Amino acid sequence: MREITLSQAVNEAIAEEMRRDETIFLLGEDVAEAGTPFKILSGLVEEFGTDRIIDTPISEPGFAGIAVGAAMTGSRPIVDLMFGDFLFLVMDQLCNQAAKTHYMSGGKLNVPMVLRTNMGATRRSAAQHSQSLHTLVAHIPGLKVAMPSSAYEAKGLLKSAIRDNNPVVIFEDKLMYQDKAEVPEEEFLIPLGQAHVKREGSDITFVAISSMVQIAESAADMLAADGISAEIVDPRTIVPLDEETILNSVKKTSRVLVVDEGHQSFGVSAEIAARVAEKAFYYLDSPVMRMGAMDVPIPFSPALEDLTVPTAERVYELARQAVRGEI
Amino acid sequence: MANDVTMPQLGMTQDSGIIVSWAKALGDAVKAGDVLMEVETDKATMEVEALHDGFLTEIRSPAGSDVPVGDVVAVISSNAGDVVETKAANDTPSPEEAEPPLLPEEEKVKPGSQMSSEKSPSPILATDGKILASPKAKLEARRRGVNLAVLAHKGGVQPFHYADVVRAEVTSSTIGSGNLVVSAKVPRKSMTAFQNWLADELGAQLDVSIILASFASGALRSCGGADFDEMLQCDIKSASQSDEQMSVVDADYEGLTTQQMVGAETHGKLIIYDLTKTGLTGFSPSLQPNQIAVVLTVASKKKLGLHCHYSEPEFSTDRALAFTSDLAGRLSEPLRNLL
Repeated sequence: MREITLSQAVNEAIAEEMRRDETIFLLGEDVAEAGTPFKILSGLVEEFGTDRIIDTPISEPGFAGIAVGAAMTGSRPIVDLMFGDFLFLVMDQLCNQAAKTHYMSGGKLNVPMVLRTNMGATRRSAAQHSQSLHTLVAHIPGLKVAMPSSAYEAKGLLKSAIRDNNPVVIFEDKLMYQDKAEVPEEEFLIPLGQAHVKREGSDITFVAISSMVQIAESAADMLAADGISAEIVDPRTIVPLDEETILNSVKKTSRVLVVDEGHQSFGVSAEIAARVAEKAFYYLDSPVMRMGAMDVPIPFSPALEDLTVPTAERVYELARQAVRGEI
Repeated sequence: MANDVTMPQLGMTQDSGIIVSWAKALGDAVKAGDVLMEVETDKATMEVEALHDGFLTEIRSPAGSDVPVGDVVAVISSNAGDVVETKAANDTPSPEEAEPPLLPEEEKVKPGSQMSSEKSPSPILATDGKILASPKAKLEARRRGVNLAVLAHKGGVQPFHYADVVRAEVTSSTIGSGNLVVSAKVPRKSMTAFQNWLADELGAQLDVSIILASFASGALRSCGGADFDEMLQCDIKSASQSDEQMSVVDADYEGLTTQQMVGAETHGKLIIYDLTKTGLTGFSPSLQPNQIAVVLTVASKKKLGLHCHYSEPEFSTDRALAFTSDLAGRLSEPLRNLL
């Protein structure tokens, strides 16, 4: 099968959906001729014109609000938020307006918008451009949250998100834009709320989110050399969360380590860990474990930045201790 | 608080080190910075300092051993009482060693109680005397009838994991000698109400075990048919004082207030264990063939647990089911027994 980058997968998904549905338009900063700082959207303005690929001023709350209103009145906007860190600027539009309109209008209004943004550290972008803030939106009822772990997931999830009648926030890891994966040429969708067992194993389950799937895979390779078999579950969306697949895996392996790049405290990893503890308690043979980014602002210093986020070595070490019964 | 002492990496290419000597003895007080041991690598011999204050409570690698970098060689604990003789902890008990006394279900063992007076030699122990085991290990222990208290008593290293239970099954399967058990839950308030009613009507404060002996005798006779037409002796025991035995004979034929307690030399067909005044939630008594034990426990705020232990083929499972449901019915509606 052909391999394309995550960046190309996103571009294809948007182009295919825009050809299929004329109500779709995209807006954000530097999205047209510039094609975003990551060159993800290059070529789209040439095909769809500036009426549908709209460059906005540097005013995140403004264009997010435009999208919410347009979505209420029949369009299907895609908001491009240049950095996930700018979520703080659009919180009211997203959490107070988009998330609650369907509920507060008694079901009369839908907000079928997608907010595409990114996450991920180790790009030397410092504390205000390196955060992984998916926990913030996952906490708000009414929003769906997708976390693609490869080009394949990025395309399939984005197409489903665009077609969904609810506001969906999709986080792409900016370190993965140039990572290639097999993506079919023919059309496909990945349903929101369906986890994927990326690797089967018997001794420990890694629930790994977004780029942490790659970390988990490296750790699993290292564990295999020690004769330890790790299973990797990629939830793919954290809202809705495919609890069943996670629980089935933990029931099989009796151990779980949740790996997420968000800060460890009060995060998505804590939520998943809690659900496992609640619903698979009697199957557990070691304490439920999680690993997230340290609870510090992401440092600019490369040496320090690399230490703040989960690494394959640390995942490997923790998993090995758990399987040996040392925890 | 215990800190592992690991074999340090003293050179770029070093992957193991030989412990030349220990500068501290087991149980010694240690201060961070004290020389703890001397380690020989392929290039040099160096003194390794302690990183933590505390007591040297465990030496896993004696002088002379070659240890991979990163492996735990000793433990420094803040509690001097944690001293572990590594050899003893790892040794499996020899088969001719006497079996420890039967211990009740692990979670409910209270410190200081007669049941847990034997101190476990395990290195990691919860301070409240609880036995540490993973949920899966506990569930599996229950399923297989492995008594974790016995495992701890024998020196198993806690916390116990699933694999420990699987390994232990063979050794502890002799305990409880394959008793089968049928359990039921009955509302607690019916029994309490019945006791209060008896007290009001007859002025007699009757012990639960007497009532249970009477009901169980009746239930056994009604589902046992001709087998139990002869004299039916019922022994009343308490789990904590196993040498004391009182018996009643044909308790179901007597009035509840006129039961005669007799000292009996022989084993009765029925044994009653009333655990409702203890925190114990389960107990597997050792039985003679032919004997049936009825164990009454507190299952929850509102329920009593009724457990009928028996062994095949002397008593069939069909009979055990009939007996237990009959007895549960009597305990749920005690007044009907008087009709």
